[in-house]
Order: sequence, then structure tokens, then C-alpha cells
Amino acid sequence: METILIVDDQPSNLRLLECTLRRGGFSAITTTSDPRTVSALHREHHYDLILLDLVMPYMDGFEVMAALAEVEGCDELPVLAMSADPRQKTLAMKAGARDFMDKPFNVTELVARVSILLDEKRVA
Amino acid sequence: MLKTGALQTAILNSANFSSIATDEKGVIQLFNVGAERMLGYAAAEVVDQITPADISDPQEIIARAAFLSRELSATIKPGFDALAFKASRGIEDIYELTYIRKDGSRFPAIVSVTALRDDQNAIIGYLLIGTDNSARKHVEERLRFTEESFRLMVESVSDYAIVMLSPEGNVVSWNTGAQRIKGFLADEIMGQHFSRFYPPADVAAGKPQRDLDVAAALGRFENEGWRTRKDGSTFWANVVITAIRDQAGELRGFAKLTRDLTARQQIETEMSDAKAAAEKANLAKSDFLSNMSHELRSPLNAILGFAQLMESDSPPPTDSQKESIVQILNAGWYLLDLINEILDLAVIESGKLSMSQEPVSVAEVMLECQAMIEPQAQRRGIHMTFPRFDVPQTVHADRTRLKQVILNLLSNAIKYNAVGGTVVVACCGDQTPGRIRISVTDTGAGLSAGQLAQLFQPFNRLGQEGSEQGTGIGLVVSKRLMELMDGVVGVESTVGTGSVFWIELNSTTELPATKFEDVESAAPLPATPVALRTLLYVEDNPANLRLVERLIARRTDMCLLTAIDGASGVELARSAQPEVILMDINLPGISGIDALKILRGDPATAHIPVVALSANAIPRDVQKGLEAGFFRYLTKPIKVAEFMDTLSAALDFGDKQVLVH
Repeated sequence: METILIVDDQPSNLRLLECTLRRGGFSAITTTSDPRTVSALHREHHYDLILLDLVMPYMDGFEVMAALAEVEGCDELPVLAMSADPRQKTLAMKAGARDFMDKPFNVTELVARVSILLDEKRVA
Repeated sequence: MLKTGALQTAILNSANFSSIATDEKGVIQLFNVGAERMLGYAAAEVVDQITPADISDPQEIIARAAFLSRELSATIKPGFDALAFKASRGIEDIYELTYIRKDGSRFPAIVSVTALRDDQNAIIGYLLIGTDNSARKHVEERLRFTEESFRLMVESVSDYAIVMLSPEGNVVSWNTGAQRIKGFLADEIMGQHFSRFYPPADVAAGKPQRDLDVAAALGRFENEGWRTRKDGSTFWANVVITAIRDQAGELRGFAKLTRDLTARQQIETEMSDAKAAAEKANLAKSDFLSNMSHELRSPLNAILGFAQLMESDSPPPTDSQKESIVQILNAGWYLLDLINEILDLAVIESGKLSMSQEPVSVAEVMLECQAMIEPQAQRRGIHMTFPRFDVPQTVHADRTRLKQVILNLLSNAIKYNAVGGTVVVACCGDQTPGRIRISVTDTGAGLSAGQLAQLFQPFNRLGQEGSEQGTGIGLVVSKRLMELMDGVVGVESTVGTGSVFWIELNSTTELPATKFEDVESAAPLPATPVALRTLLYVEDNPANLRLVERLIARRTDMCLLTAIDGASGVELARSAQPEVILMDINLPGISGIDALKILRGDPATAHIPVVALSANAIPRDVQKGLEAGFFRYLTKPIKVAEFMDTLSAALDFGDKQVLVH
């Protein structure tokens, strides 16, 4: 069973993403609204995929990715970055994210992308 | 003796020198051809008759006699003595005087006088050799006139301070401009060191001498900086110091030219301040818009997300609930379009939009646009005609942005068309030389002159509010984009008949590059969301998998599933029910053709169009593949436009199959 961590400072977004993924057939889902806990959580649980909001207080998504790169020991991160600012896509991909989703998103597309990312990980 | 005689004869007969020989008393004994020519007398008229003093200016003779008397402390009478006295004392004498011709006219001459002596060294006469000095006198006068003119000119210039400095840097001349700019009168400053014009800090740092050293070493020194006036006030000056050297290269001094640039400096400062303020305001505006866009998108995410979840909830919503959900979703996606377009316009207007212009094949772009827009046209029952490209047409443009513009025109032509109307797309390169025009003709209501005038104003929807969804920004963005690509957008319209929207771009003879990177930028996302379709790709080559993955990633309407052999491909097709299958022919285990047969034989997968993708490009292989039942047969390497086109066609085909079922 693939494990997924969802990181977003807004509780409504956390709930929306969790509902969408559960309905898409994923069940091992953890959520957090505090970006500062992400690298510690990942160090302990080694998630297969992290859905990461980029605009958050205390620590933005790029800082979280930098911390994750230390945990992973490389720049390729199991991260699907999400932002309401479409111009952050290129930056996120450069920072090591595997994929990027605009907010608002199409729920079917999100499930499809998450499936593909997990498939890729399984193959690799 | 003969030779000496000949030489004497030659000198005496020279026509350009007057040679006059006298006896010891000064009476002319010999008057040569040159003397006859210069003075107008025949030799016979003067020999034994007069002395050279009689043909010289009498006033000059008197003055010379007085001068020589003083100089030599002797009494010299005005007359021939004044001319020959020095020579009689053995002193070589050359002087300037004025000769008077027979006709009374006068000319300046230079005369050399030598005493003639016999064997006992007694003076027996004098020889006076003279030349006409008129030409030299003339040049000297011209020179004096020119010098005087320049001096007056320099003195009267008031916009520039022109100052001559001694080699040490002391002021030796001072013009009106210097007086005006620096405040000193000539008398106050002459002889003073020019460091008085520098601010005290510069003087302490030794700048004045350094400036002079540079001018002396390099010939010229130029500098802008602060200088001080007599009253201690400062001004921003442009200073040029030029070293002046004589013919031997000896430094004679410096010419110093100073302009007061205070006014210019002030204007420049004000302008750069204004520019910085404008840039800051523009930046603030663009920051505000992008922040606002982000702030609006965040709550919209929750609205659209939960509405989508409700739509597919279990137990399913009632029909009336479903209707409400569809309204929420439609309005939400529309609001998102609006926000995106405002952001796009803000980025363009802030000048931050980066364009990558290159040779682009119009045919390729057109094919991609056709594939993206045809479903929209079909939903509305609009018939579209696209041009054939027998001759390749290449324009200089940003590929993604060009597509965005064409799609905007096509989408408008469909949206604002008559029921069952037509859209004709044409491309021609002969209207304007060096330009290619793409036109989109619709059969809509047409636009009045008043509407045409408001067409390119943001948010102006020309009274279409309510009948069609739109933001009124699309055409404004298109116009700006075309301008950034050195192109234009134009429109002609007839009320009741329809409109022709056209764009024109520079054509190029360079060949369009079909780079791998093109795949990255190709195919912007369609504005209207459509249900996500799935493509199943059965392929064992990782490189091909990666490429198709990247191609599909550009389409928001599709997602990709992959299988690496025929058996797992068939299994995935049954479980995932993809809309299209892309099948490699040479697969490990069961071949692509065998896999196709299994899919065709299974009622769960028989309706799915299967496209073959193979490196076998031999016509017989292609024929065999199509006979086996493949929807299309594509050959490697993948051609992006053809690939996208085929996918769209297969999706459309699949939609119809589903309806039949």
C-alpha cells in the first residue's frame, strides 16, 4: 500500500484533497497543516508521494522541498507541488518536484496524476 | 674666369630679382632686367641719373636714417647713406622697405645691400639685390585678420568658458563665457592658478594637477564633475582640457573648455526619478494582480473541488441537486478563466512576458489548433474548413503564443456564429510581401462600425454579455501578443453577413526546427475543461514511453497509463477502460497485432480505437497493420502534430462508438 502525505495550511484544502484521493482508491493518507513538520515526518515514514502546497506561512513549499532534499539525499523528490499561482510551475519543477497541479484542479485529473506518479515510483 | 663671368651674367639677368649696382656715391651704374620689370624704369632712364634712395619711400628713408643714427651713434643723412651706411661698415644688411615704381605705385621689398671693393679694399660701389615682398605681406595680413577673428569669436562666446592656461596651469586668457559661468572678471583671475575652479576637496586630493598631467600625456582630458564659482556655489560641469604644443613638440599651455551642465543634470535626475517611480508603480500593479489572482484562486479551489466531489458522490445527488452543482461548476470554471486572462494581460502589460521567437510552420500550428478546436465546433454544429498547405509557410513567431492567438480567433468565430454556420480559415502569403496572413471568416451577425471601434478594449464584450460566456480580454491579449511578435490583428465585418478576423506575421525562409524541446512548449491547455480521457500506451522502450508521457502531459484533457508488454496491456485495457490505446508492434511476448486481436475479441475492449506505433515504415507493413484493424498506423519517429491529430481523431471516433453502444 502506497503512503501519501498531504501538506496544506488551509484545512478546507486538506479535507478536499484527502476526500478526492480516498475516493480515487488511496487509503494510506496522512495530512498536516504545519509545513515545519514535513521533513521530520518524511524521515520517519518515507512517503511514496507528498502533495505539497507551495504558499504557506512559516515555511513555504520551496523551503520544505529543500529540507526534503536533505532527507532524500538527492534533488528528485517524491513531490506533487500544488499552487494557485500557475507561474510557480517552472520554479517547482526546478526545485525537484516530480509534477505540478494548478489550484483549482480537476479532481479526476488529480487522481490520474497521483496514480501515474505512484506507478512510476513502483516501476523505478 | 669665363665661368664666373657666366654666373654673374645669369644672376644679373635674373628676371625675379632686381639687381642694382651703384658707384661709391650711390649713383646707379647697373640696372638689370629684374629691376626694370619690378620698377618700370628702363636702365637708360636711371643709370648715371639717380640713386636707389630716389625710388624708395622718402618717409621710410628719413625714419631709417634717424634709427641708424641712434643705433650707431653717428650722423646719417636721410638719402642713400641711410640705405648703404651699414654695408659701408662691412655689416651685412637686409631690410624691408617700400619701392616706388615709375608710375608712382608702391610695393614692399626686401633688399640686401653689399659693398663692392677694389683690390686695395676701397669701396667702389654698392650692390642692392631686392625681391618683391607683396605676396608674403598679404599672407601675414590674412593671418593677422584670422587670428583677430578667432580671438574676437572666443571672447564673445558666452555658452562655453574658454580659458587658456600656461603650462603651469595659470590663466592667460578669459572669455565672456568664462566670466558668465564662473563669475570672475578677466582682471580678477588672470595669472591665477586654475585650481580655483575646483571644490576644496578635489584640490586637496590633487585633482587639478592630475587633470593637467593627463591632458599633457594624452593630449586631451575630458571629465564631468562639480566645479565652483567665484561666489563659492557649485555647478555640474563638462570640462575638456587640450594640451597645446608648438612645432617642436614643446608644451605651450592648455586650452580649457567648460560647459555648465547643471540644468541638464537636473533634468536627467528628474527623468530617472520619474522613470523609477513609474517602474515601481507598474511593478506594484503587476504584483497586486498576481497576488489578487492567487487570493481569488485559493477559495475557488475549495468551491470547485467540493462541487466536483458532490457531483460524483455516493449516494448520487438528486437531479435538482445535480443541476445546481453543474451551475456552480460552470460559474466556477468561468471565474477561473477570467482570473487567468487578467493575469495573462497583467503579465503582458508589465513587459515581463518572455517570448521565444523562432521559425514556425503554419501548417503544423494549424493542425494542432484544428485538433483542439474541432470538438468545440462539433458541439455547436459549426462546420469548419482549414487550408491545405501545398507549399510550406513559415513565420517568425513564438509557437505557443501564436497558437493561443489562433485558438482565440477560432473560438470567437465558433461562439459568435449563426446556428449551423461555417468558419473558413485561410492562409496566404501574397497580400503583403514578406508577410503571411491567416484569416478566420465566420457567418455570425457581423459588427457595426461602432462595435468595431470598441473591439480591442479590455472587458468590452460589445453587448454579448449574457448570451455567451467570455471575458472580453481574449482579443486584447491577442492584439498585444501579435504586437510583441511584430505582427498585427485586423478585422473586416459586414452586419448580417459575418466577420473576417486576420493576423499578419513576418514570413521567414529559415526552416522550422522540430526540436524535442518543442514538445515542452507545444499545446497550451484548452480553456474549457473537458472530462479527462485516458490513453493506454503499450511499449517496452523507455525512451518512447518518456516522450509520449511528455506529449500527454501537455494535454489537460488526457492522462496516460502504460504497460510494457502485450499481456499486461490487454489486462490494463480491460480494467481501466481507456478511451484510446497506443500499441507498439514489436513487443516482447505477444506482438502488438496479436494483442489487437485479443482486444477486438473481447466485448469489454472491442470498441476502443487502437493506434499502431511502429518503426516499421514499409508500406506493406502499414497496409498489414490497417487490415488487422488498427485505427491508424503511425511510424516512428513520432511527429508531434500528426500524433496529436491522430489522438484527437481517435477520441472523436471513440465518442461515436460509445453513442452506438
